[in-house]
Amino acid sequence: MGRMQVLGWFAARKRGGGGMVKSLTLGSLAALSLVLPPPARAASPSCETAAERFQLPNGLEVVLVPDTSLPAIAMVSSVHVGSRNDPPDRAGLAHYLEHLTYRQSPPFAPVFDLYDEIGATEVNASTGPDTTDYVAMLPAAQLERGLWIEARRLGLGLAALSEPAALEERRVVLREHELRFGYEPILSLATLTYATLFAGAHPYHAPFASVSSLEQLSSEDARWFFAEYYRPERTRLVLVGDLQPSQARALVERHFGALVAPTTPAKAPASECSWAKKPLSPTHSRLRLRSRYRNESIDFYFPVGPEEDPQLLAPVFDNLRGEIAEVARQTGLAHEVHGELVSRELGSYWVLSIGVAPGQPFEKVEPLVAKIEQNLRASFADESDLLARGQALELSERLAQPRLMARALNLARRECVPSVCVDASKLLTPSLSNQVDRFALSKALIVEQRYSVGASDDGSLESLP
Amino acid sequence: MKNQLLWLIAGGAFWGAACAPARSALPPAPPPPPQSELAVWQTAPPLVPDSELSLPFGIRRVSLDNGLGVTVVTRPETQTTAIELMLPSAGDPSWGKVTVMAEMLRAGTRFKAQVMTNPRLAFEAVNVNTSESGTSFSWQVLPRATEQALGLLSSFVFAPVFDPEETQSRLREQLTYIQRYSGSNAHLLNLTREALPGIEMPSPEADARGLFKFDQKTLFALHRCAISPRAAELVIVGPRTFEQVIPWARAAFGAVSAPARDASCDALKVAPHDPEKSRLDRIELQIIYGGSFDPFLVMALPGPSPTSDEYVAFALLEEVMESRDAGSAQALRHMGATYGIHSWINTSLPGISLLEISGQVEPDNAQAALKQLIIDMRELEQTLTEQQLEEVKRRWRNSYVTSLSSNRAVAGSALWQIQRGRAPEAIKEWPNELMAVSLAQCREVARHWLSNAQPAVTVTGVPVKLVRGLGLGVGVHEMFWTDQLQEKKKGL
Repeated sequence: MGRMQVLGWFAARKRGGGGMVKSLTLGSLAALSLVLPPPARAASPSCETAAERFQLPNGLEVVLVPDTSLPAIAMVSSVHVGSRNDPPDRAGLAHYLEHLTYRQSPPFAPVFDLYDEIGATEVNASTGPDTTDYVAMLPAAQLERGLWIEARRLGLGLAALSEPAALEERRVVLREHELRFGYEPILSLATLTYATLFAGAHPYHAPFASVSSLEQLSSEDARWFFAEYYRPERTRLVLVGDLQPSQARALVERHFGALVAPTTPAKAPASECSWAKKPLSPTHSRLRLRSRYRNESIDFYFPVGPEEDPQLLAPVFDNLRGEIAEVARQTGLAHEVHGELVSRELGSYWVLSIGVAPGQPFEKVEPLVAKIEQNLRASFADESDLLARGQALELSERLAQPRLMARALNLARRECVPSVCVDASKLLTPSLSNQVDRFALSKALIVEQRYSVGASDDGSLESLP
Repeated sequence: MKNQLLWLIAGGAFWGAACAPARSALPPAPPPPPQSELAVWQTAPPLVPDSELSLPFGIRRVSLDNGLGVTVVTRPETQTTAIELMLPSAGDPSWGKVTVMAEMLRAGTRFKAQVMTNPRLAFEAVNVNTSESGTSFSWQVLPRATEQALGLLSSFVFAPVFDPEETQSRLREQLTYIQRYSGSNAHLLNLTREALPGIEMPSPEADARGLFKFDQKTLFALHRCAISPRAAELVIVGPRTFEQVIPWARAAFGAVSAPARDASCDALKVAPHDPEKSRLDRIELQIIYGGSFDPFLVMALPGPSPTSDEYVAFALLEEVMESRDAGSAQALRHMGATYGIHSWINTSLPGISLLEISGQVEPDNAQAALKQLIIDMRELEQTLTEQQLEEVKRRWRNSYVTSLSSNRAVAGSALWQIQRGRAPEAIKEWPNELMAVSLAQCREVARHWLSNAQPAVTVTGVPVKLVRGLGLGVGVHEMFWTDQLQEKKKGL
């Protein structure tokens, strides 16, 4: 929904400027993580020691975390359905439905009006591969109203949606698609990247659909999808903020307790976590998209293995990213280096994304990364460097703590990869130098986006061994 | 072996069928619940009065002999320290000499891109941001490192090295940023602002040409002109007390003196703007040809200085326009014409605020969108209601309160209040100041600034029909987009 865009502009506002034009959002990284991603260093769920968890008889999961530092409550209503649940020939349906749940006709007030009335902020939603999250920051006094609005979303469904509104909203989704991914080969690249990472049959695809697919979606499709997936037993409600757990629990029971599961049998969430036990192993080592867009990038994907704890490897990855950023700055080869752990329910992977500077030779980037791998081994043997790195991690963990919404979103995540609450500063030991090989180029899926001068190969996608 | 994969494979087994004409039928949706069951969702629980706001910050400010103001905000419950230093003497209207010099402060320090290598202290890198109003330095550190951080920040800003070798590599970095900036919306915004009288935003390409002439001597000369503790403000927010922090700040910054300036420095001075003189007589429309995407609209309109009594009401009017429940944003969205059109107040120019709007629209509705946005702006004086204003005020207040979870945001708010000519304690009063603005005040300010609004407008990805039939008096200026924006030549 639009608020995500608003947040982007707010961020840009501090600089007195605006966001970047669309071509800058064409990174495959963005394509694969285009949903309110939790900050890379957000507190992990198990760090929330004060969390109270319970389940209503109708299956709704509830997580409550009291934090009285500010008179506000972050609320996330997370439905366990995402783009991977899109029917095969209806890509984009989960996202379209997310939009439609905000559209109501009289006598039912639209969701945004209800939130506006109580002065809620950060009202937004995002459709990810695994979940659809509805978020709002409530004034603490308005908790009951906020709960009622989210319960209504499930209870009312699309019963108050008019057909003209559904058609209008489809055009809005098309505009969103155009704004983010008007150049469709980037979506194909994202889908192929998923296909390579999650070898074999898999449910993931680019989070946005093609224009032709979107244009065929109907409100009837959305109504079926809603009945199939928007159910209390597939929903997790998370509240973090200025609340009293007993009082909040009573309010949750009052407004959500009466919701009953639809008569159609639920799609069993089943043993989806079994996927996470399979190693994600790239079957192709390199994908290359040539396009008319000048923004060139090279991304390295490192799948998280079934026995690995990604948090334990965080310092190694962080060091790799930091070293590459520094060398990129010194050499002028790259304008941007970004790295993060992307957690999906069916598997996780690290992404290191390097924006190649305009006019710089693409071929120089990989040798640079290889050289840094070597340097890292020495770096991890240097205790002073480890200490510095550890303190930086400690700081970033602390910076994440006060953000109520980031914590709530974290608690809504359902990825199967175990995450533990770690003191990152204690993880740094010289033995980590042995882990550098974990991020060897030979173990990466490499995804290139190259500028193409000629129109003939614009949009061509290659898979190279 | 090179294996050419085209669209079909890219689409994959899962959704490659998206392009196929025939789709499999889904099972029918179950019938909706009976109206009697839905009635419960028509009436919301009663609205509860908002609770009293209490912002228990300990705030104190002192002035050092060299003119530097030091504000300490104590928040014992927090675990980090945020430091903000603002130098109004180092303003720059573009990505120009002062901006680049401020970035070159890093050359020769012991910073890496993300983490300082000093093993005793490990922080984020100092964030440097230059606008017309000045240069700010922002840093977040562990509380136990506050004292060292203040000393390092002082050295960083006031005693630079400008290491020649590192300067060259950092200049290359700046060149890359400038190259990327030239194709960005930030550039479009500057083009739009520049169409307003008295506002000059030199093109970044022009700045880039002289970039590699920056040697150590030039940088030191620029530093002497632009970097001064006089009228500067330092804000420290974290768990440490005023009694702890002030001696550290004095030790770090107290001995810094304002450098002597010569006549060569005058060219770098940024004079405050007069908002009345930046008003246009008619809408100035810049049309940029090229690009293959949906039309993208950018608008800028002058408004009162942030120190003016009109400012808060003006900012509230912007929030109303941004709001989903009023005006163009909702109307256009309900037409399906846009995913979002957003507005904000730009206060980065001294003496003036700018109401800025941008967004992407459906090609067929670009003209309607442009027209509606301007008419909406002009009619706000009449259309604004008490209820809309109250909702917007409450949302803004709540958003402000939520933002205070971050020490960096608190430091930024304190600096902002100081720049508005208020005491830093005003961060606690800001919600009340906001809530006290009346409908009559807002209407008066709307009458003054919006009723005859003549904005500067830039449109890219232009549809065939934009100007003809617009029905508004506009001056048109055409440009085309290649690698960089160039004025459209005759006959193109």
